[in-house]
Amino acid sequence: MKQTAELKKLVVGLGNRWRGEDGVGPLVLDALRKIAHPSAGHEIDYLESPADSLTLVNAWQNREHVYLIDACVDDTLKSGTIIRLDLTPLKPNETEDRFQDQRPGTDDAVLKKLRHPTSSHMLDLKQALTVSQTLGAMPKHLTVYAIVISQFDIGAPLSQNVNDAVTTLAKQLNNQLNQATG
Amino acid sequence: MTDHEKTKTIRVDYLARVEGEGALYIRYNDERVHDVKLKIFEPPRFFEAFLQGRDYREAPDITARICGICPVAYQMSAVHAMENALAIDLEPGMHQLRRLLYCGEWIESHVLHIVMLHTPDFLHIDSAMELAAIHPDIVQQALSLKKTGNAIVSRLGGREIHPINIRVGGFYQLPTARELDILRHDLHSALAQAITLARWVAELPIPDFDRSAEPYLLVALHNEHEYPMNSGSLISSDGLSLCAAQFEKHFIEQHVEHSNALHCLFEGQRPYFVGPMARFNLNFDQLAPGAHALAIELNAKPPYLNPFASIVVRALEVVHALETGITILDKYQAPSQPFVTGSVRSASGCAITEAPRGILYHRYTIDDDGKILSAKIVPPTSQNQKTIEDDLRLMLPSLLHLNEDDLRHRCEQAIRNYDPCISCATHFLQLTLDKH
Repeated sequence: MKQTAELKKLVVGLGNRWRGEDGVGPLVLDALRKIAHPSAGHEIDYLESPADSLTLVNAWQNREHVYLIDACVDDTLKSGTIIRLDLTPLKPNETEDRFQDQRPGTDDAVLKKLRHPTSSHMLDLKQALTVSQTLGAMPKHLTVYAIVISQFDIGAPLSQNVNDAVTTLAKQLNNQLNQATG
Repeated sequence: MTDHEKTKTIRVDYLARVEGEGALYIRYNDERVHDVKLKIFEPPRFFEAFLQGRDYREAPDITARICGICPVAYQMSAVHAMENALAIDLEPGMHQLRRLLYCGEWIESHVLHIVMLHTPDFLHIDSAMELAAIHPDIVQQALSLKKTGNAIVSRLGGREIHPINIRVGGFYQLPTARELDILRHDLHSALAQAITLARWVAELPIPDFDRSAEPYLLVALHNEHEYPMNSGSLISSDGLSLCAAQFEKHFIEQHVEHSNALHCLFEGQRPYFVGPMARFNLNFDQLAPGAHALAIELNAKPPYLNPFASIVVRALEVVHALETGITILDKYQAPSQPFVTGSVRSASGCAITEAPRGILYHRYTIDDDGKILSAKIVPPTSQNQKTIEDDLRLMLPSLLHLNEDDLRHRCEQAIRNYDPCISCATHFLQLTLDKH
């Protein structure tokens, strides 16, 4: 049951904007909306931190381009570092499960540091990707950006490094979206 | 060899695919089961205590946070209880919107449990990820159905989990006719999928289990005119018929050492069974016509008491919820205003509604300023806890030929028959402040 591809790009910001730097995903969405060309609204869907990861699976399936921003904690990297993963669907003849490769710096190592569910009835990001991969429902291009953060106290402001990373990533995404829609 | 040496123990230190943190302990030997404990070690959550002193209008939003799976149920019981206290009457259209919202939550919760959490048990696999590889079409259907449930809750509640548009007296904002038209289209598409899913679920290998030796006491709401969600009298399979105000006289909570959730027993002694199986058996004639006909087609007719078949009943309730939603939307007449208010005064009120997992009781007392003086909440899982233990105790003697892995698996499956929500069940704690 292959559906028509959804041409609108999807930008997902994960995180809790009230928990300090954990909110970088939604904050990048805010920054992007401010600088995006007014007509971009017709080309882009924004999704802020859906409580249910199954919503992600539904939202991104059959999309051409999806960009996902989340916070991650990694003591080996400087706060504000932006990590990029390009996750395209496995081809039918590819048998390697890249999500099982747990060496530092691999997709799996990064994904394990990203969104974890607050309920045992929900999926984490890696499980959502696995379900999508298994169902053949991965978007054609899924780019994950993880910003390394260091504090998530309630209501705390962003550090300068993380604030700069939010601005940089929003600009970078805006350029990419313009290229992709242009 | 002594009896002690022959005794075996099943331990499941952390129950998977249930909401919250629980464990199972069973001690048995070849002749009998000595001890069964569903241990709930999730810490108490103090909700009843920290509702004290809050404004009565905050109860629906605070109690919704008890559960991420059934927040609507908490909001519905809270608003009905407050409206009961303040004698607030609602227009019929408001009742219908709330019923539609509840349909959305039943769909969300049941579909998640049926496909992602419970079906793997019947197929002897470990997870929904494995299920997606074996039956991708079923998982796709589940995702689509869940999306429909989410759409209902988002449209009426403002977001899909922990809605923010629900208030005492109605809604903060009513949906537009166009928004409801979109929903109607979604529900029609989803209904065919739900029927297909129910037929598929009914073909799963359902283990036999007969409780005729110790029959269940089924307890559910009942309403002559509709399958129960927001209203009705409380009835039982033994002929009980009560109003919500009589609940605490007959259903008594007690603390047991091994659980941070109170056990609730009828007359303080007898375990009882709430949830889809109880609703279905006590309200079969009130099912929506299509769900009723499908139940008969699937040979699921009362008495239908094997708890392992609860997965079939949940699937039928999904069909019922979609049909009900379509009927509501077809006949909907918008209320004249989003909400009504009542005169705030010192009062007490209570209500019972049917959460996906069974009856959910709320009772509040407020003062002249509308501040909450006391709150009591009895969630479904704490009511079913003793019945789950009894199922395990009664089931085990016929299963002792199984190897330990299979036996453990069957026990976990039996617990998941109830879709227990441990996080809900541990909200309790009576806080006593001794001020000198």
